[in-house]
Amino acid sequence: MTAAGLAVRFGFVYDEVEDIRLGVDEICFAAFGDQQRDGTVEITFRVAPQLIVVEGTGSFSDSVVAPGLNDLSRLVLAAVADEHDVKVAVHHVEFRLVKRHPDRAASV
Amino acid sequence: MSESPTTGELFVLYADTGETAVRDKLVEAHLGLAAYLARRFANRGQPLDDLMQVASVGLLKAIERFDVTRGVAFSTFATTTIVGELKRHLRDRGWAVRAPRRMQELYASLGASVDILSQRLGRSPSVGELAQEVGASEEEVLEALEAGQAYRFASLDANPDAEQGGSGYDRLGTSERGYDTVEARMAVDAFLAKLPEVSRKIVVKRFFEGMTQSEIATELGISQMQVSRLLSRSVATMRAFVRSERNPDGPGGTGRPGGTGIGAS
Repeated sequence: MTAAGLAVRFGFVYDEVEDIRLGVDEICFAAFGDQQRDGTVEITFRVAPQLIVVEGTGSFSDSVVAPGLNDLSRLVLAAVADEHDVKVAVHHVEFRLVKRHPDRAASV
Repeated sequence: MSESPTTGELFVLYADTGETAVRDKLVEAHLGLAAYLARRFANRGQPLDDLMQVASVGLLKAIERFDVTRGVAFSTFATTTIVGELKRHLRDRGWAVRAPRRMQELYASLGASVDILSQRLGRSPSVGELAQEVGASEEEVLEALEAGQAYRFASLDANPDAEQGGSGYDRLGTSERGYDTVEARMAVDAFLAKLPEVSRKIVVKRFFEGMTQSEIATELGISQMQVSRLLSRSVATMRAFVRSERNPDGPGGTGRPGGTGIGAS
């Protein structure tokens, strides 16, 4: 919701906002799974007129291992985002998702 | 031994005294009508017991509102009230998670607005444009779109509109399988086969063929918001298939490490 709201502010259209929502949902599932975890999650949003970057890190005291990327999540993320990256370890996860505005070239 | 009072007499008595015992007699006398109407709305995904309760509430409302001096038969008046109550119940239960009425109404109006604006602008509308079209703030539009993901709409594989003839799927035209044999796609293909036909087509067009949601909506002749909902639900369904395949004996959710990965396109 936050990512979608920010994307709206920077002129992403409905189709792109929908992609961002789907992408954030998918990458968060890959990074964190759907179980309750003991730990801390920090999510950062970086926005520019050309793109939106959603980055997250999680540090956990439990031993649950998140699903990580699989064929399905790779397929979904490749379709809805311009870049994605997920690193999953027992007590630590990181993810990054980039969605570029199609009409405005830029790099981060 | 005196005869039992007629319905009209009971209503006059109830209007005069407001006695619960009189109202109960009216309820008892018309429960058959409520049950009959509840059964008419069965097979729409709601338990008959629930519908019976809703119909009974409708009956009570009808008794409270009925004016015997207007010359209308109570059964006629009650039928309208009970059917209204049943329809409202079914409409509200169309939402898997109850969204505020304002959000439900906004979501409904957004569906049409997305399609109208897409046609008018020749591209997907911005949320600002949508907000202007429906007379809401951008935040409200976003909130409604989020809430809309909880909407459990009728399956397009079902026959939601007999007047148009055939199922929703029939109206979509024939399917084509335009995706190739990339390894990841093949792996996902196994899960795709478990999706309803319309959902499968949308997934293929969005994730394999790279079409946008609005393009898919136009091609399939359905709303962009239907595409959005079906896409989200299909991903969740396939995700559950992936998980059950990985961990067929477990309760699901834990899973083995899926490895790390970096992808870019």
